[in-house]
Amino acid sequence: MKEKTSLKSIFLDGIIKNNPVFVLFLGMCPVLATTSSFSSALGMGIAVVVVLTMTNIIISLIRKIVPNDIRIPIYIVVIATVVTIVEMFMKAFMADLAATLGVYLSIIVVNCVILGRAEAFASQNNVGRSVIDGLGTGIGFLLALVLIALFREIIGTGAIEFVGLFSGKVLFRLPLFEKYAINIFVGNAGAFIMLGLLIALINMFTSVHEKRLLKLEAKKEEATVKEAK
Amino acid sequence: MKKKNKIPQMLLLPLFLGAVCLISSAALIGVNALTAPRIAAVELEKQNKGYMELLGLDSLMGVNKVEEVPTGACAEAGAKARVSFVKDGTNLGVVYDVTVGGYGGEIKFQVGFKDRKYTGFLVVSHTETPTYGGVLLAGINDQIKGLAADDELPISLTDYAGATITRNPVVKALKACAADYLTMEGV
Repeated sequence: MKEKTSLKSIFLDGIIKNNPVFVLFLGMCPVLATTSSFSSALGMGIAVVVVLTMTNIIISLIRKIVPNDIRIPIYIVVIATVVTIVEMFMKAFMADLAATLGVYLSIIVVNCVILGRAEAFASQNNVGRSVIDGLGTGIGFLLALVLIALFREIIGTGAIEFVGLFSGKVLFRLPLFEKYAINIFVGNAGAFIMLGLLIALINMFTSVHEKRLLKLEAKKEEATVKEAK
Repeated sequence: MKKKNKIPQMLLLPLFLGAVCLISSAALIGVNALTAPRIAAVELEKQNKGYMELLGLDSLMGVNKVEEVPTGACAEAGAKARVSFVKDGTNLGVVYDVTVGGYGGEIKFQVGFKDRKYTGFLVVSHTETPTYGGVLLAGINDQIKGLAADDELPISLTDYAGATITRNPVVKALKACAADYLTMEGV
């Protein structure tokens, strides 16, 4: 029988082990387009968390009655509906953020992360586990967006600015080294460069960590062999 | 036997998909009813802020606002309203609310005139590609602000390459609004 993974590992899986951006390379279009500032990345990330969790809930609820032949069109209808609802609420209550995100808000519909989790997880698991998966993967996506945006904004503008999600007003601005800002990092090319650098950095840490784990395991095995002798 | 089973299956799939679409539509209608008034209020606030910014006003208090529906070429180019502002008998300027079709959907913008000059250009909402049409729209204000209404629009705008489907209706509407403004009495 298939062993069920714990809720904690489902949650952490989406954030670290199977991070949609740094590990699976999914949803790259909004990652590159909305990370020029910290606030827009945060807004986009929150929108994805909400959409992902809601679609996972709905798809998990209807999974047993959806005919297998038309499951993908149905998932698309569900995702499109949820995205449109989120977009309407954002236009009503976060007008400035919705204007900043523009077309990228609508194209969450075609974000591979959402359809990917619907097909790979929510359609095969109960609501509770699907919520945790949606939250984990969504937060993983959000953290990746925020991390890239933070570095891009700091290096590209030499300052960090936080705009209120509801008010659209600048809440605080921390100037750091504006004279020495490297503007390319705020542009399109900067998005690719920063993404590449962060992926390289994360891969380096992961491989170091894996090597350490392997060494520890080898030591343990050695110890048990010695004890047995 | 197999043939008998196929017919209900063929009907079941479109019926199921149709039912899901109906439920989705109902949900969207409900949410639209909830959010539409708020979105309209936000747009109105943005529109009023635009009027003040384009005419250099601190407030619209005590300002007489005369709204007219443009006709002819101006209306055909997308102008939805021509709003004239007067305070204590002084003409404060005219702003056009324009909606044109762009590459990614509707582009709503305002263009202002005062003393036979463009006072500015403000985008209310658009869904153009940020790196193409978005760049063009963001640069229009700087290119036309202060320009005489009967002057030719700058070549950097009329011949802007890379966002033709965004550029053409906007340029056409700007020219039509300027022409309409110049025909107004007392201008």
